[in-house]
Amino acid sequence: MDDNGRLSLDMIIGVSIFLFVFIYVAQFLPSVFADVRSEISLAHEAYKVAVILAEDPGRWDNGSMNGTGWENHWNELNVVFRPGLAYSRDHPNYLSYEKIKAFQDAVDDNYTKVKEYLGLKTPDSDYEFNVSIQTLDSKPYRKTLIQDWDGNYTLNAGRAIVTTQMARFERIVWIDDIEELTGNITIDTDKGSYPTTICTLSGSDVDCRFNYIYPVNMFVIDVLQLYTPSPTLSLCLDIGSCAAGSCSLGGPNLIHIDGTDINLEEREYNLKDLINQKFKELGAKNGDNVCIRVSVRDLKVKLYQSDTIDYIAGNPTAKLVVVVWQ
Amino acid sequence: MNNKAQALTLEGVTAALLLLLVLYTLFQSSLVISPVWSELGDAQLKQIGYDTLRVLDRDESYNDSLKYMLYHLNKTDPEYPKPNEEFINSLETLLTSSIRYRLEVSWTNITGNSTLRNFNFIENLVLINNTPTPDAVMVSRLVVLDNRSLTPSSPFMPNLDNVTSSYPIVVEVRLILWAV
Repeated sequence: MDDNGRLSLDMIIGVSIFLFVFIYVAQFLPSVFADVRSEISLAHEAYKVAVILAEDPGRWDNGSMNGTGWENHWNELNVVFRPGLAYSRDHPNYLSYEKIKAFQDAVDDNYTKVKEYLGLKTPDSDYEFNVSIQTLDSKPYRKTLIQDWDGNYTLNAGRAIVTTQMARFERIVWIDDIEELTGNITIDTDKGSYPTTICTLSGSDVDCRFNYIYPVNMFVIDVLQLYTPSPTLSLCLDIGSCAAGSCSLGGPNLIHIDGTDINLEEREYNLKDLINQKFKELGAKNGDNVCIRVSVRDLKVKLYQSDTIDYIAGNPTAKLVVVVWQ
Repeated sequence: MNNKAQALTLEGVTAALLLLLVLYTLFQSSLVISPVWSELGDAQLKQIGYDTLRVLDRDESYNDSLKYMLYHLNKTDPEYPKPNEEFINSLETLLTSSIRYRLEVSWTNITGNSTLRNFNFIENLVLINNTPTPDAVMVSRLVVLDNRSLTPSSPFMPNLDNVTSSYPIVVEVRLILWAV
């Protein structure tokens, strides 16, 4: 029999295996990269939203009037707006507290509309988002939100994050209204004024108590006026709950902090580092309850203190975190 | 016996296994070979660096500001050129423990006398000398210092013969960051 010109069985099997694998790869490979492509596009969206919010003051328009003060007009009829949280275009990263609160209200009021204004909902795409202001040491797996002085979250707008397939972008920002974040604790011994919820009058001195979780994030004393005859301020540090009695006042014209004296002048003192160092020397561990007792005589001072926000180079500083997913 | 037109089983199986091996390797490495992922990581790290320098670039009345740190660098200090403690604390609070950093400054040193000024000497100083990894990113910010506020022991003081200079000193602060 003449076998020439016949197709070899080896070749048929080889070509079959090759074609089978080739078709399988050709069909499967795009779906492998689809995930990557999708997450890359998510990251671009997260970056875009973070830039819009951190660097732009936003804009509103109703057809006859417009401006950057969208926080006062977003809920009016026939108004379109682009949310931005920056205080002004010249001050990127410097966020307006008023705009932050308006953004929270606008998202709570109409999430889909804000999504469209941020460019996250178009005819071709639809992304979900969450925007929050978090502490500098907040992590994706251990989220810590910044709180206002009244305990409410400063910003936590958008949907709850329910997926692991998402993109996250962070910006470091500072916020303009320190009193909304830390409370207005003004003590004026000559006028007998002080916050009665945390301070008491003891003769001519005012004694206050503050409870924290160690390490302390922010403790700033702004000395506004020295009165005669003996202006003095003392801080006593306790691990656990506050010790009984007031913090004893030392010599005049000094700030006494648990054995360390600083000259008392009419200026701002950022005492966070010194207080944390003292607590560390006393044996405080991360997460311990601690107490600061403050006694004031012949002074007008403002205290800025927070459990969550950090005070850096004269400003309350935090992270703006944008998370986007599909 | 006529062996023509029979399957060579061993070769067929080897070829199929080879293809499957290539396929498996391809799937396993598909995320690693995508360069865009590392670029996204770099973009986030760079942005944190730029934001950090921007936040710290405040008035020198704050002890943890960039300007205070630069004005208070002192060549006679035993710890020179280490920045002041408050600045380091704030910088490390901003960067958090997951980011390591190296800090450098460079500026143009002005030399000469009353008639001739030279601006040709670029000075460099490493303030925090950590060794970066190969995937580190660098960000920088220009800070303008007032010549008249510098002390004689400042490294930025112009080196002029008996002449006072009113030229501002422009210092480039470079922050090199990498994730750990």
